Amino acid sequence: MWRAKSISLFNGRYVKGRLLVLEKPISFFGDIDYSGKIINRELKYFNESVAKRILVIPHGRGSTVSSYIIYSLAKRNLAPSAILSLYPDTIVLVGCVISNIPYAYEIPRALLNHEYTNKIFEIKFTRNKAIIREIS
Amino acid sequence: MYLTREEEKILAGEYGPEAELAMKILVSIGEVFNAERLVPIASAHLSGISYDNIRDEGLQFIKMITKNSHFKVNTTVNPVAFDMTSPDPRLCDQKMLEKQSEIVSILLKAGAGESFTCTPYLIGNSPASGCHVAWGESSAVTFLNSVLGAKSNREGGPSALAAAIIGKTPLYGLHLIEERKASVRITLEIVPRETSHYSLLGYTVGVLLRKGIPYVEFSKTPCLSELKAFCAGLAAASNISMSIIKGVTPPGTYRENPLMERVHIEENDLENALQKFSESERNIDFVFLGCPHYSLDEIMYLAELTEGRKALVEVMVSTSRYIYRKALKLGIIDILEKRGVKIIRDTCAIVAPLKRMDIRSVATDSAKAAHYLRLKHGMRVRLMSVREIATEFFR
Repeated sequence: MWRAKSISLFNGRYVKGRLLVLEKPISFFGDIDYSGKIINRELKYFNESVAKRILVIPHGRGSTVSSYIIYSLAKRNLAPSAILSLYPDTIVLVGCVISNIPYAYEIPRALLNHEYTNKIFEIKFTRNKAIIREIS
Repeated sequence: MYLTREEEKILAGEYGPEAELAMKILVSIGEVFNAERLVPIASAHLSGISYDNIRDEGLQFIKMITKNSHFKVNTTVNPVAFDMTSPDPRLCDQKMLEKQSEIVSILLKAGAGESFTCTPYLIGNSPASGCHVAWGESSAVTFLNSVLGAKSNREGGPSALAAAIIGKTPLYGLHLIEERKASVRITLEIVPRETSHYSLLGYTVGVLLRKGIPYVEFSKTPCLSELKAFCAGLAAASNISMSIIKGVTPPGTYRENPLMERVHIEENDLENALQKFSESERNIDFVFLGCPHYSLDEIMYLAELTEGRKALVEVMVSTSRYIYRKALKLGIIDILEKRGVKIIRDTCAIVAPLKRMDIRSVATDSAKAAHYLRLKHGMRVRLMSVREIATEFFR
């Protein structure tokens, strides 16, 4: 079981799903296309979709347009089901807030390992924490 | 995070879903960055409003969150995708025209001023020293913190919008005096002479430091255009949103820090940074000036430098409609247009869909423009002073 920080907005949320771990910082503007597919060839999971996955990243990068892109993916049910970040950044945070996607940060560094990709995890969000468990 | 009763009510949706969402954005940011509370702001400046950048996703969001809301504070907005006073057909098709106009009318209806500039501080949104504000646009935020001594974090599109709707911002980061403390002392082994040197110098410091707050001492106090260029270069190359400039940054708006690491900047460092922007003069078929938007002084200086000559390539200068009107009254717009210089308003080469124009290589006096023209538009760029540009591309 792992712990990370979260915010009161997501208190009471529960997410279960397959992890997708991107070990490099990601920009939703440029690295991911309109359908949620990863189109940056330098990323390990090139061609995979972030849709409905629990996305694990070090942090977001680049333009604040990224927040709007998360919003757009969410409106079309193509967004990640949760985003777990090593460091907090306002671009991904705000994207999650406006799209109602649970977001946690300061995850243990060990979780940012692509070996965990495709493993099933569950996350419980409390008032200021996320409790993260592997269940497969 | 502490919220007043009124703020709690907004968060609970008592003032409608738009204000609730705006409050959620502010509170979430506040919680993550350990803000003690929200603080009232004197003004807001919104970036991320060019349709070429934000597309339908951004348009939908802005439309949704401003429905039934009115900005609580003086709010200015960044440049848009084209000159709305005379749209250039090369940059702007019917779809772009309609979508951008929709974004603009939504923002104006919510109470934004018809500003469309990255230099709000030149057109009346110039907060007093010590004021809290919520600004987007990295160059403007850096100028605000470093020169005006007002206080803002570098806001994104949605967070600045939320702040404008609520009239407050979370109290953290550069809003706190203890965070406004230099991390590095820059010692200059060079003397910048032209505005473009200040621009490249800012850019070089940004590339070297990446983050933190540099303390800089110039041998002479820079003028406004030079400070504008320095701040824009610095912010474009880094996450830095403030520098402390001796004789410029108002005392009392930052904390002294005597125990600073020193970083020397030499001619060599500038040359390294310049390498990316060293396209051969022979290939240049376009000149772009006005990043950040040219001030009246800069437009007059260009007129002085190009007297009696005509442009050999296409020359575009961007400024705000406010400065344009002033230049028009003085007859300078006419003079420059007769020399083949096109003065555009409301937009700039970074937020306009410049790819649609058939341009090979660009010369500019701005390191920020050079950086984005290269990265965003894939162009080859030459960074030179406006004096060199006038000599090289006018006859």
